[in-house]
Amino acid sequence: MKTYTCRRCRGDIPAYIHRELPIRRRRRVHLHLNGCAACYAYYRQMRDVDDELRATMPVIGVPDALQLARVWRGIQAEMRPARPAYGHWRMRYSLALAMMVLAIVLPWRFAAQQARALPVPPTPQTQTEVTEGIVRHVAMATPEAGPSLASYAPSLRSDRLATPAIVRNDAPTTIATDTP
Amino acid sequence: MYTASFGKGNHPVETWRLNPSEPTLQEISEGHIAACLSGEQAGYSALYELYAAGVYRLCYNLLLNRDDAEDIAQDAFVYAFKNLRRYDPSKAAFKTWLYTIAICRCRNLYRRNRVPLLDIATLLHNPLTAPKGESPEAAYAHSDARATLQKALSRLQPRLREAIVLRYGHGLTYREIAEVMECPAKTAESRVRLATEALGGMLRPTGAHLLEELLSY
Repeated sequence: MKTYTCRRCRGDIPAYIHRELPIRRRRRVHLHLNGCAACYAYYRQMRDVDDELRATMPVIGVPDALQLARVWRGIQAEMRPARPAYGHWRMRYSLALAMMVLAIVLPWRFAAQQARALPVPPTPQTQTEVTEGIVRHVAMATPEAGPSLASYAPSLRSDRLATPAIVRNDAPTTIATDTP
Repeated sequence: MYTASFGKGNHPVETWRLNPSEPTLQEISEGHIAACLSGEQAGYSALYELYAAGVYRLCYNLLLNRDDAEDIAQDAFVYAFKNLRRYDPSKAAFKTWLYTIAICRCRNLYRRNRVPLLDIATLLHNPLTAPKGESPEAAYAHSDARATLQKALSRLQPRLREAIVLRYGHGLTYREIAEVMECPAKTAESRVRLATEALGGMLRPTGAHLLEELLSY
């Protein structure tokens, strides 16, 4: 049988005090303590510490109701299912609004671009009018050349040449008023 | 009545029951857990009421700082509530599981800030009031003993502090301490012994002897 040394006994003393030893070892410690003064002194010392810890430790850090309520509020806040945030709805409404604006603005912009991209080609009638306007200007500037220019512009007849009323709006007004 | 249930590794976990008709803490907890899993919100608050003070005290004793203790207790409960489906009653008691979660979070905090965490305000003026009818000398001796113990705890190694807090602050057995600290029962036992010896050395100048001396006047 192994000898039960003081070292082994001291290792078992806390468990002996806590009543956590099996019956056989407990009896062995008990017998050793009865016969060893040094180990018995160690046992007394450990028992004092045990008593003090038993009395003091449970009252350290006892929470008050406010602290527990604060912790509980924190838990509830973290446990709450993620609510659809206001920003989420704002995002949806913003998107819908943006789409509506685009739906209104885009066709208008598109039509404007189309108009700019495809100008109406000048018609022959317009060309004639422009030519006539030029000739008339020349005729008014030089009245002696008027009859010879009549073949270019049918409206340059002598009766109509004298009246400045036939002068088109696009002709320079200074020329029209200077005409005698 | 003496009842036996099976804990981690199929070791029988022995529990004493004073009144067989009264349900144990574990049975009450399991009822609340079932309520939580079925969607009843009241189950969560019932579980919180059962364990909040213990978890907070555990965190405070390990961290010795009120704000940190509150944060860690909150984290531990949130994690436990969100992972209730993963809790297996056949492996460990709910209390053990919850304490394991809290201790893991405390360890993470030690790792993050290696500087000693001490609530100086608490140490300087202890807010705990003396029980009614206590003489001023005895009240002073009690508050002094608490302050001394807190200082001594702060000087202990984290693993030893965990063991001693679980043993004396929460009354866990060596096997339960081993489950919470995830170590063999023998290791838990030796940690409790080393911590007790260390605290014995630190507390000797004050403590019980001084208290007895004061009370004898």
